[in-house]
Amino acid sequence: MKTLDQLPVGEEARVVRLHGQGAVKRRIMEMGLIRGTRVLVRKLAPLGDPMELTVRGYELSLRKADAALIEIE
Amino acid sequence: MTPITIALAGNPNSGKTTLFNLLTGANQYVGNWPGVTIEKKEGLLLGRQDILLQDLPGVYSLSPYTPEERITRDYLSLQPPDAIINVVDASNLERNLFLTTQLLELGLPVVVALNMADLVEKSGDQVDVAALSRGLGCPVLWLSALRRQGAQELAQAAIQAANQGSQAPPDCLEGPVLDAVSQVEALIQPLVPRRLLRYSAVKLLERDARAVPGTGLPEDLANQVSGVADRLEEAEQDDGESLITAARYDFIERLSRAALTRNNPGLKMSLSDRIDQVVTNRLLALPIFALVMFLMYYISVTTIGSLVTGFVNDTVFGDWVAAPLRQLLEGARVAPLVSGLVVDGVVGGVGAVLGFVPQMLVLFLLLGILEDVGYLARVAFIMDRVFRRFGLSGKSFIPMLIGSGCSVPGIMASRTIEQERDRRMTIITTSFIPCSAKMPIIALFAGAVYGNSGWVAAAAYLAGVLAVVLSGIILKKTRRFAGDPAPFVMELPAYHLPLPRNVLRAAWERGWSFIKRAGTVILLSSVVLYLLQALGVEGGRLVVVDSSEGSLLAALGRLVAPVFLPLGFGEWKATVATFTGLLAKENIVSTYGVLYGFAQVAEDGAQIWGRLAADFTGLSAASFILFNLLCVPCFASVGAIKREMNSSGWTAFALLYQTLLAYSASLLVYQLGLLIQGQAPGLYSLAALLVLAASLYLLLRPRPVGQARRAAV
Amino acid sequence: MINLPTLLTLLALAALLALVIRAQVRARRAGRGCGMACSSCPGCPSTKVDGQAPSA
Repeated sequence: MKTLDQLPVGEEARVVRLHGQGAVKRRIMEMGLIRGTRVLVRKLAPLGDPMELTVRGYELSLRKADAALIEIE
Repeated sequence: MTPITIALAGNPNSGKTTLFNLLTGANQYVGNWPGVTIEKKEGLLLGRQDILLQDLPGVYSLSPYTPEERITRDYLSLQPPDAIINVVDASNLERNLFLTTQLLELGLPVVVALNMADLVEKSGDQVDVAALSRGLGCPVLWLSALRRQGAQELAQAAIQAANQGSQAPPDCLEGPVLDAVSQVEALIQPLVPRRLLRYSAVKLLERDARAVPGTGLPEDLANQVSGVADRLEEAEQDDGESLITAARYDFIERLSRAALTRNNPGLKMSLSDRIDQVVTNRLLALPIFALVMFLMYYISVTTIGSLVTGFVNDTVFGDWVAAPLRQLLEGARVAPLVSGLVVDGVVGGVGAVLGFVPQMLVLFLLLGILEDVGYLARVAFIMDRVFRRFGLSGKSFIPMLIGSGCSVPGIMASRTIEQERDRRMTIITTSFIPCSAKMPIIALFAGAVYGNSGWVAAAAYLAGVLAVVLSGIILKKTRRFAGDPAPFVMELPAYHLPLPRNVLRAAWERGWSFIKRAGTVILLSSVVLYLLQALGVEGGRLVVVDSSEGSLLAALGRLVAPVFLPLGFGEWKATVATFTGLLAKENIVSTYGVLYGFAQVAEDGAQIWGRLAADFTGLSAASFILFNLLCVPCFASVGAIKREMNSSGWTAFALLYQTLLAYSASLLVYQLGLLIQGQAPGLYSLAALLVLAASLYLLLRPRPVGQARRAAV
Repeated sequence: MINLPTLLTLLALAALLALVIRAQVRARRAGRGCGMACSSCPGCPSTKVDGQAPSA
């Protein structure tokens, strides 16, 4: 199972499934990261965390811990 | 005529508040939603006494997870307005429409405002407003709140919508999800007002029982509804929330294909990204940040500072203003007390502060450029990992950066932090970062005691950051504040070239504000101060004293001064200065200006710096600066703290904590410094060591048991 | 000790102070808590609309 936190900078993927529960999962979904959404990893913060992604035409910062909940292909 | 209420709803950063300000002008009432630190804003539409505008907190959706969302949905379902203006950031259309689909289900008339029209135009994207309007089933209008275009038309459309009533919402759902929703609607129909039928049914499928107004469903009905939800989830192999969210985004994507033409359909790197590759780079980011900060302070304080301040103080105020004025007054044989009041009190006090205006202007300019360019948001991004180790999220850093200009907007900027715990903690610690009013203090001592070294400002800033970080660690280990920081999901706006017009204007406004404060609060304090240090009691009568040492002020100061003995500045002048600093931090400078007979001294050729250097050692100066940097901020900031905390208990705690921290820090620095210099240990050094031990314990003890990740915020 | 020039100076000073106090009180009544007029704070009535005010 490949998750978003493993995606290197500059690469795209498609969201397959969201794991996790409650507020974090909900927030991620509300930001538009749902099944079938394309996401690009634009950059990583200096200490590797958080990640900056492009989703639906805008930029989003997401912690690696939260990105690990997002299964991709 | 009954008043019409129009609510403004939209994502954070969508420009909602700018629109609100546009439409209401100064006719606003700002309070707080009961029980929380979230601002509640209402106002009358300009020119109309019968239209009330209600600004709602910025939310991404109507879920039950954050206080802002709960407030918004409770308001919209239980105290419905007559119409909603949904402010949508047109440059982030899809994500913003997510909330729109939910608002439309509430059965209220909605008017959509496509804000950031200017940004969309610049990016080359195109939005077919008519298609969007058809798809959403409600009026859609362009708005550029920044350029003040479209606001009036929007208000008119909202009023019209309120009068006409709502139309049927579009079906964003389809297929099995829609079937399930219809089933639930049929079940709950007798219990729920017609307007809220769709909204409640959807929420129930999302397993959000709080959404049903009233006392909830009777048990058997709840079970039936639950059954529908179970069957749906079984069939689709996913939970209700995800299904509905996905359905919404399907709808939005279809709508987007019909109405939005993107200029840059590929997901490729832009100029902003290339800049960020350097700025947020693993190795370079923190050094670059440190460099930027150092440069900012170096340019304003050390370079401009030493050049201009001396000139302004000695020449402008000394030669041009004070001396001639003194001659005039003495020539006219005005009583010495009064002429002294004018020359030494007013000119001396105010002049001492005004000497720093050039430095401040430069500082404001540089800060404004950083803000405008978009660098500040990157800093939160960069600092997040660092901050998280100490229990805060990167979002807590932005208020502190803003606080380096003035603590008041910094404290108010804590609103972007979702978790109440973290928000309170940020409010408490924001004022540790030196604000612009504290810079004159630093500059004064840097010049007088430390030979104008550029490191003084850097050290002060570092001390502030350290205070924040250490406070974070300590507080997070107490039960009140414990818990993982909020999920860090944040937007990074693109870089843009700073608009000279905006930056200059912002810098000028802040500079002017600085000058105004000098001419008001500091003026008043200087007058009072001068009188108190010129008058004394001898033989039961009020007389003018020869030297301030015998004055009322000195007597008062000496009463309290012992408190500061362990810190190295237990004499009355420093004590008095510290207290006047509560009114406005610059007062510390003006107080010394008055007390050292500044104007007189300048005329004689001696420097105020010389007198100051005589009163302080390098170590006691450090202790003094540290104490004043960290202790309770000026009254305006305290007011902001009180407003944002929305609780006197928390405000008191904040002030107490700050004072304790300041005292402890100064104590440690001074006493340990003395020990290092070879002084014999005494009672105070023992106290300092105890404080050190206690602090280390608080810092290093294990986190409280049971600190699991809290799901609900 | 209280001659005419002294009195005049005192009056001038008093007038200045009165003006200042009045302006401050008015500002606070109008909701500008800090009595200033910079555009730094969001929601402050003196916020100019196109100012770069950080918004929540």
